[in-house]
Amino acid sequence: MGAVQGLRRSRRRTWTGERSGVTGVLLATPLMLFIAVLLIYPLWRLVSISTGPPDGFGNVTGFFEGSAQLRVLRITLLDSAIVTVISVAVGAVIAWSMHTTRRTSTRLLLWAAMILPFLMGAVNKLYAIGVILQTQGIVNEFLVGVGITDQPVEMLYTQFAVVLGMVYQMLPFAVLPLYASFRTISPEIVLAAESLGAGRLRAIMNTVVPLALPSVLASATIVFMISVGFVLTPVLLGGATAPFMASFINSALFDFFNLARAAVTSLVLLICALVVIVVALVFLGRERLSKAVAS
Amino acid sequence: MGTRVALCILVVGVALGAAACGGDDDEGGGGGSAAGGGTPEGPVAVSSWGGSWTEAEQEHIGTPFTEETGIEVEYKVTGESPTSPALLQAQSGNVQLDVINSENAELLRSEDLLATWPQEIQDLLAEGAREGSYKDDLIAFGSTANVIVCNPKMMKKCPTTAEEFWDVEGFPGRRAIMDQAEAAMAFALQADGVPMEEVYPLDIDRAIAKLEEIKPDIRVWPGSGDEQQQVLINEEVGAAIMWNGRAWGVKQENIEDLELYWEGSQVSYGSGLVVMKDAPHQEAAFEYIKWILENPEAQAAWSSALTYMTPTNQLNDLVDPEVAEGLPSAHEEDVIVEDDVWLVENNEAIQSAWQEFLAG
Repeated sequence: MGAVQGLRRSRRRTWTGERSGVTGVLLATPLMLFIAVLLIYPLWRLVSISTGPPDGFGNVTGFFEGSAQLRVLRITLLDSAIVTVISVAVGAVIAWSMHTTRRTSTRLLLWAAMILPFLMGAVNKLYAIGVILQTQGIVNEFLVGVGITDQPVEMLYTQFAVVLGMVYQMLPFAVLPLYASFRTISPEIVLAAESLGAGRLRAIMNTVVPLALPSVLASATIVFMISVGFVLTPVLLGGATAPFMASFINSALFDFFNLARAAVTSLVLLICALVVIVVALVFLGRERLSKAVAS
Repeated sequence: MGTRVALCILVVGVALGAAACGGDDDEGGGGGSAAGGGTPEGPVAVSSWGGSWTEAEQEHIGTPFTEETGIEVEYKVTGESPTSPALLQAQSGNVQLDVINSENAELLRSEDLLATWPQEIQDLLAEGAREGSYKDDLIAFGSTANVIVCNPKMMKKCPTTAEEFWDVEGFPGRRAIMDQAEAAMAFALQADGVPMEEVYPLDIDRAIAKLEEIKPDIRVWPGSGDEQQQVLINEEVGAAIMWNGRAWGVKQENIEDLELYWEGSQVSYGSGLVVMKDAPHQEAAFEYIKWILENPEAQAAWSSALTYMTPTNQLNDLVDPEVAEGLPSAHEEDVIVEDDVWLVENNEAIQSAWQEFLAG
């Protein structure tokens, strides 16, 4: 009698992995509170300060009146895009080499090259690049000494210097996520494709690239989002005549003492960066995007 | 095992609780906390520039002050300038700074944020401070001048005035102008023929037009004091418009032959130490100011370290003779005093024009 009742009880209370809807919401509440307080509220404040005193929505339209703001916005987005493309391209090559090389020394060298810049401060890295590129620096001394040029080449305070400095700082951010996903791709599929008659390049394009694309997109997104926020590098390597938007936010606070102006500048930067990313991701294929989101 | 863990948690919890409760006794009590005798409560929060400025401040003023009076001093370095945090704090109604090394006191004064000096301090100022180096809510500490600087090794002929600086054919060589609107505009106007007495109020459009002429020949627009020094030391540029203190530093340590030219330079007496009206430790802050005024040797030591001026009228006597040469006080006929009231009133116009010019 007791045994039969026990069986019935256990059948009713069979354990499943799914919880009820209420439990789900309750469990997610701490995270939702976190997001609400630290993400949604600050964003709302940003919008309310931008559209508040002194001109209400006029603050935002007023932003687009100056030619300096539009030019700097263009510089920020364009240079960040260039840096993203270069970082991800070079980063993919480095990450793939880290994954497939059979020599431990090469792998150690590549790892060191990726991790050590993280341990250096940003200012150290900037000064290092500045010292290398400056008119009396190492590169120029070599070029003039060997006789390739008569006069030192002015490499500092150009777009080239800014892109170089940023790629150097962004490479670890590009390589590490790529490496993490490349680890799941066995190098043997390339050999398999080659054995079926494909050339090396075609083998990689048709086997590795489709598998790696989601993480390439993720890596590019990370690099782009960080790049648009740069402040020091564009000014120290590119000069005060070609700053990034973050310098204008800085200036709005510490030269203009105008909170609304700073909020508007931040909002414009945020929205533009998001638009660029969304457009790029949609352009590169929605199925890839959903695969990236699912994986 | 379970009881041991529980005991550990209990001890840690009690310790944390005691620390939290026993923590800070001074919750911003508005003006005047110490009634009657006894030392006013610190710590005095001083908003400062950081780097060598704050090091010198701590060494020559903060530490001896704390030794003598027992009041603690905390130096806060936030943001690009010491005035901005004070302004932003006042705007949000939560002032936590007491003393500000304000580079633009008129900005705070125009928002009615400054405390006037009590009679004691006013008497000390009347007795021991140079004429013009103080107001009833400010002591002009660290007045700096914007000067033309030249490295004779890199420039065949050194430009000594604004006009010569702008003459890129007669005085060839790479130049730098610091990213500071008022300095660049004041020099630009003089290069365009405006006499020293008529520079203020600044004719912004005329200055920008003159600056557009020289923009292609300016290699770099240094933002920070460090950058101003680096571009000379790295020999990126041979001539520059920069702060006199920084130039003096380069002369002492890196480029001995560096020349400073004072004709047409501008000094700001609108910058210095002020005390916030809503300072949480106002009494202690006034003690800090009083101590500075009562110790001219400390002022001279600080001044020698940085080559910026201090209010004491004994400055020229107490400071090293080589340093005295690097101070604006030794060149008073050549130096224009900035009109800080006008600059604050027209700040937005100046900064907008500068931003359009530089990045547009």
